[in-house]
Amino acid sequence: MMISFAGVGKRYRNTVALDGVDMGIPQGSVTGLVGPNGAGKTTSILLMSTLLARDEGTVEVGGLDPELDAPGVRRLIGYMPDFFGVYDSLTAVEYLLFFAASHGIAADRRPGLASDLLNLVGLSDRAPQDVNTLSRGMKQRLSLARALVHDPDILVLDEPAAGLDPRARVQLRELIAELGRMGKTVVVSSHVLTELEGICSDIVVMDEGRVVAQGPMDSVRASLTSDRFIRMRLDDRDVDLALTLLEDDPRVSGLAVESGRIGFSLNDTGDGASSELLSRLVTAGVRVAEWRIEEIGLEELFLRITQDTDQ
Amino acid sequence: MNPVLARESRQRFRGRWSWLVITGWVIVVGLLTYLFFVAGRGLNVDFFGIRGPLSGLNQAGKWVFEGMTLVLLTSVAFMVPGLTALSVVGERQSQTLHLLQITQVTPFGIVVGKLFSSVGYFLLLILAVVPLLGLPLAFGAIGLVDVLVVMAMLVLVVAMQASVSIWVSSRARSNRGAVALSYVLAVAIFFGSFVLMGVEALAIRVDIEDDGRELVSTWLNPYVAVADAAAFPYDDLTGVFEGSDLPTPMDPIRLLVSLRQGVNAFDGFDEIDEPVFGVRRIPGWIATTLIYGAIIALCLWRAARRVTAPRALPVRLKRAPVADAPS
Repeated sequence: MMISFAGVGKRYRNTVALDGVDMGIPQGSVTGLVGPNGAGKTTSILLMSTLLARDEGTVEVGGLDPELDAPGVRRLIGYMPDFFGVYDSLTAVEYLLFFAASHGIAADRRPGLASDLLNLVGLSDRAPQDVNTLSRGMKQRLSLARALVHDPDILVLDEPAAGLDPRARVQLRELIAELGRMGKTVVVSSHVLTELEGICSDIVVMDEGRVVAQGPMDSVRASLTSDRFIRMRLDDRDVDLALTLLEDDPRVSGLAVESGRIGFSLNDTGDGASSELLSRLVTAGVRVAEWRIEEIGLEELFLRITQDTDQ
Repeated sequence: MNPVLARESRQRFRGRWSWLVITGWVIVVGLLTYLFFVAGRGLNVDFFGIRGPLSGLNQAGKWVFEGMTLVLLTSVAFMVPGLTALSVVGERQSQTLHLLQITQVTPFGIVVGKLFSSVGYFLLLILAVVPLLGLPLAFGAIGLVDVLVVMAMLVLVVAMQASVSIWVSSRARSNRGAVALSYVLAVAIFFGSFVLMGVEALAIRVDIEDDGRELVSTWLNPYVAVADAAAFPYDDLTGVFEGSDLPTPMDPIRLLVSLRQGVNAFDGFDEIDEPVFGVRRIPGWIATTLIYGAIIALCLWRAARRVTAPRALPVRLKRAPVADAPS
């Protein structure tokens, strides 16, 4: 694991922020840290980023303890908070040059590095512009470039899309996905779960200072769903035949028919169940024009997880 | 170069007000220089009754040098807190402190960068008026050593005041609180120490002629420290108020120096080897340098502790072995 938490507790006066958190974030993964406000996401991020000390338990980042070897962890980690810290009177390129210098990057390497990073986040044309005058989306992308300035193995992004317009969100999501493809270990926290759909390979679900589910997205999804919903479109002449076949299958329930479309739940999440059923329908002569398995979304997943926890 | 120092310097000189401040500063100092020049020369002309193009220039030079030394010292009290009070709390307010803390710049590097930035800016203000301060040199009123000694003490006082303000800034929760407390402490150091001297003088008055106890509170005062260093090795301390010399702006402070050195400023030169109170002490500016050095070190150390992340906790309640979390 690139990041490990074992029995980590953190308390702010009388409020328990983290209560015995155990979690592991695999190397090279894009992990979504999800949960409602106050779940402990930001506290976890501050702990792994060397900005906060834990009360109990153990944290390791790349094999290093953030409290005992903070400089070592800071070399490994790039942190993007949920706010954009502004220095007055600095241009975008000067902002990156300053943080490059602060990370100890050699002076002759800094200009090229800043230029490459601005190019990566699509802000090359904004290099000479005062950071104060950038839009929020541009500031977020500049903040991401700042987090990458020392080429860290791990990127920790706290609510990166907060306050962004839809276009800026899409751009940021594409950037994060690209960083994942570059082999970075990315931790993205958000309470807007749809933001994480499609870019996360793994997920850690937190609620009230505890980890309630974690692992590869598909495994977590599968472990929480005993059925999947399938929509099919077919020739009107085959609807009756299809219905007959589906009604005979004990795994099928909730059949709904509407002008050449049938929807139903398949109570089997095994890898071959859906294709086996499709094959049987086609073999029987049903002309299937469309076959779509609807996975449950992150929001639905989260609701199910926290519902289980509440119970 | 410390990146914090480089960034802060760039920001200070790029701010829209920076050149206005420097221009205003040069104009004010220029006017004050002129006033001291006129006052010193006028006093000389009135006293000796000689009028001519070169008459009284030496006295005018003394007035300009000593008057401007006092002005520069006073400006430290009023400008340095303003330059440094927001140094750390401002980073917190603008949410940039966390970004700085996760770089390779150490907490001590952060506070030292801010200290040098403030001291450097103030030194630039002094450099801007060097041509004016050079007038007394041209008039032959003072020597180059006098200028260097005063400049060195000024840097020490600026560094001390800046360190105090940075420490305040590291503890403050709001910009307003940091500025207010920085100015309160500056006023206490620069002017409150005079009050302290009076209280201490009254308190030890009975013993002072018996056992030679001195006013320890004079060590804290920047004006006394600069006058002390300028007067060292005290050859001309006696007779400050004697009739042979015309008064200059720093005479009242020189009197305090003479008192703590056991030299009677009201008598002649023959008293210098026989101090009034019978005790020759270590030069006051050395004591002040040591005290200010300790204040600078203490303030920077405490400020660095405040910007250290993560803050170490005294007790670990529980340590669990690291293991891969279940997936």
